[in-house]
Amino acid sequence: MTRHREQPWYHLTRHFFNGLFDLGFLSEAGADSFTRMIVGCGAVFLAFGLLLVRLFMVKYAVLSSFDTPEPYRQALLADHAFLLAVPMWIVACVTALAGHSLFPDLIDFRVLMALPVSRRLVFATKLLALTLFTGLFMLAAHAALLPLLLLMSVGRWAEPPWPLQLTTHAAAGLLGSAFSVTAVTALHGLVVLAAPRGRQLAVSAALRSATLGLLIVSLPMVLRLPGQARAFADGSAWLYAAPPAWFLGLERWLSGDAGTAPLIHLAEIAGAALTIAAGLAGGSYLVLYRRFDRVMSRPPQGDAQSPRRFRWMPGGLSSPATTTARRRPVFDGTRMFTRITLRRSVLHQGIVVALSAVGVGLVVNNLMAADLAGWMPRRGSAGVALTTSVIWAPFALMFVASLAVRLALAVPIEPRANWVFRMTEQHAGPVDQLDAALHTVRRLGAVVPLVAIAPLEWLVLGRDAIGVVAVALLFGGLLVEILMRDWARIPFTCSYIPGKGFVPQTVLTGLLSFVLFTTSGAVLARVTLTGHRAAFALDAMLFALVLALGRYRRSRWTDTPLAFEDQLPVDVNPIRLME
Amino acid sequence: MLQARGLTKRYGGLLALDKVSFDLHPGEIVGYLGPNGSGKSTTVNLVVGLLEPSAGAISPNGISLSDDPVLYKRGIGYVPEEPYLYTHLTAGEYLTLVGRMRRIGEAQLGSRVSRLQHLFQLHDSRYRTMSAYSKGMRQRVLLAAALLHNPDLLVLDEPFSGLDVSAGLLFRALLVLLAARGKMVLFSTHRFDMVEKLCSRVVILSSGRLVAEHRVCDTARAGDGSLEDLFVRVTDQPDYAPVARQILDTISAA
Repeated sequence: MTRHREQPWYHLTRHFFNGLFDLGFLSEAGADSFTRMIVGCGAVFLAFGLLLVRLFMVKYAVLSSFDTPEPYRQALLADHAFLLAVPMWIVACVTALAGHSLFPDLIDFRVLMALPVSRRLVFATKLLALTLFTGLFMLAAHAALLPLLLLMSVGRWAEPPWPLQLTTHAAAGLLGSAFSVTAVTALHGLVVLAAPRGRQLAVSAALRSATLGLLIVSLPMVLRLPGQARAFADGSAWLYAAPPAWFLGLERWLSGDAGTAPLIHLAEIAGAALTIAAGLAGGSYLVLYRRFDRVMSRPPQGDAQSPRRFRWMPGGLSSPATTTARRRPVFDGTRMFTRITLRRSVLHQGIVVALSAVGVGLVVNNLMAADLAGWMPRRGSAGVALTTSVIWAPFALMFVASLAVRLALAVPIEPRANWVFRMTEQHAGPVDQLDAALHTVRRLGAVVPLVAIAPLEWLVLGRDAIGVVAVALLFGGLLVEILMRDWARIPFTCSYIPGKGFVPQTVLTGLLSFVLFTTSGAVLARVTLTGHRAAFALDAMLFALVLALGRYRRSRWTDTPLAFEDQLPVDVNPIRLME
Repeated sequence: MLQARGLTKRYGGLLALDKVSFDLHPGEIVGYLGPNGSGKSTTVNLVVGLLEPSAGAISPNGISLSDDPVLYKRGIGYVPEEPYLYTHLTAGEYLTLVGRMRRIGEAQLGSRVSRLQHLFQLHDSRYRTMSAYSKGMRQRVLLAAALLHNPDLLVLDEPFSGLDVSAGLLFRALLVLLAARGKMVLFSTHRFDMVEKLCSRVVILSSGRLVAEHRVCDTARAGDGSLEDLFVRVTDQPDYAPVARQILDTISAA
């Protein structure tokens, strides 16, 4: 081991491995807190695995009590697919998040190629670091789910014998997770190779956001897998589009228990998909290895010949000269900065897209459960379940999107460049700067989701949609006022310490707030639709409350000092042992 | 006039600056010299209002930072040592942002941004974000941003770092003209040649204390030799020849 530590490959691998955990925008305190948060999340996930055992124990006790093995084995197929899907999903997410470090980049080359290390070593250690990084998450995910796998494998009707089940599941799980890694890597590799150099960063950022968004939207489907026993038994058509089902087929084929044609066919798809993904990822590495000028060349930021892309931009280059005098230049400046940053920063875009996708996933899941797909072709009057789901949807979307936008604004960009804002404070207090942040949260967190869902509301509810949207707008206003009540930052300029609160407590508070907000919003919207006077009175009170909160906030903001350094909470609860 | 009196700054137990006092008059360019860690950057951060002194006071034109920080900062233009910029913006967007934060009228701001981009030779790269700029180009953006609101006091921390010859010459000419128009320029640097060419006065710091304050022309007249000789003497610089020999011995050892 000591000899290994003297080798350049050891240091390079370690360097790349650590780089995969480096978000690049956190202060020292923020990075420490992030590490603690990761450990906390890992602990929560392990606990989640044990909780699943508790939940599934009853199910398998009942299934074992049946006289025939069929219900047990059908459930086992669906549950094994779930056990394969969770690590595949986690590994795909982690790989997408580390998308910026999948291939050696400009900085790696500038720094490393000046040293006496070969290109081969740089690529090999990068690949090794990536393998270790994803392997870590892969192992953690499988370890967390191992107790559940054992529970399923030792039941009365479980087949084949549990050692074989564990072995084949481990092999299929490993290959499934490898597919996740190689598929995401292949996508990124193709983008680096195929995109025009001037657009590489933009396309890569869009791809990363899209991948994360899709993964998060697919999470409800992963969680619904245990309920799909019938679909696995019947060999439903959708299984052919679901990667975890492919690797379930592979697992069954490896254990010699594939039996029916669909599972064998799924196993073949798994083999082909893994081969293609691995081939494309490996090919991308190989091409980049031979043509490392692709990564060496810094992609030009914009096109000197094409001013068109800046024309639409308020505050773009031509804007100050052509616009008439503005009354709130500081507000306009901050809003322009916010808008441009959200459009160009991969990180901030990723936060908004990925978190908003959680909301979209929840809503899609809920609408599917209410049989929106079945209602669409025939239209007509919607049932109670669908109406309830459609009324609930805008509130869920707004809640998640508002939180996402607020979080994105809190995460800094180039923290050391914030001196320019420190030097341009205003006598009137930071109202204009803070107002620009509020404006962005209101627009992207409340108005955009409402506009996006409005056509569906109209389709299902008809004219009633106007009432729902109006109530949702009121609730959105209230939510934004509550979220921004303690806001004291110019967007993207304050250092950020993640996981300041106790993680489980934060999650619980968030969940309770979500339930409270969406339920009360949906109930008020429903009552408003009945035309009840009390509902209109409540709406009016809500409107007055939003106005009052807004006025109170503005009065507080006049003497709120701008925050440029995030602080850990200093509140300590004294034990008072001496009292 | 800028007056610094008894400026002291402590970072926890570390005394970074110890009772430093100096004046800066309109039309004057003062060179601020000192070895690394002598307190130059701390002084600059205090002068521009990014830090508050632990003791002492600083007031440009009679305005104190503690009394009115907004008014205090309004009359200052600052070029930091490292080109810390929002590199996802174009130069025009950055200048527009700074102009708006400084409440410059839109029409005036538009023409100034456009003219300054031309004059600082940034126009050809106007559609590129600053992430693609060289250090010299970023330095030019910072200088344009510092001058945008026509400040009375210009504080420059190593402004020539990364500039090519032509930009350096432009910079020098500009500083001379600014001083001729009555602006105050505080110029922190390691470059003696620039101080000798540009500055009327020099302030030298060592270990957080002011160790010398001279008119540049007086240094030679007083028999101090060159500015570099004066610097070496007042900051107690050791003879580096033995150290250089030791370095050579170290790398050539088997």
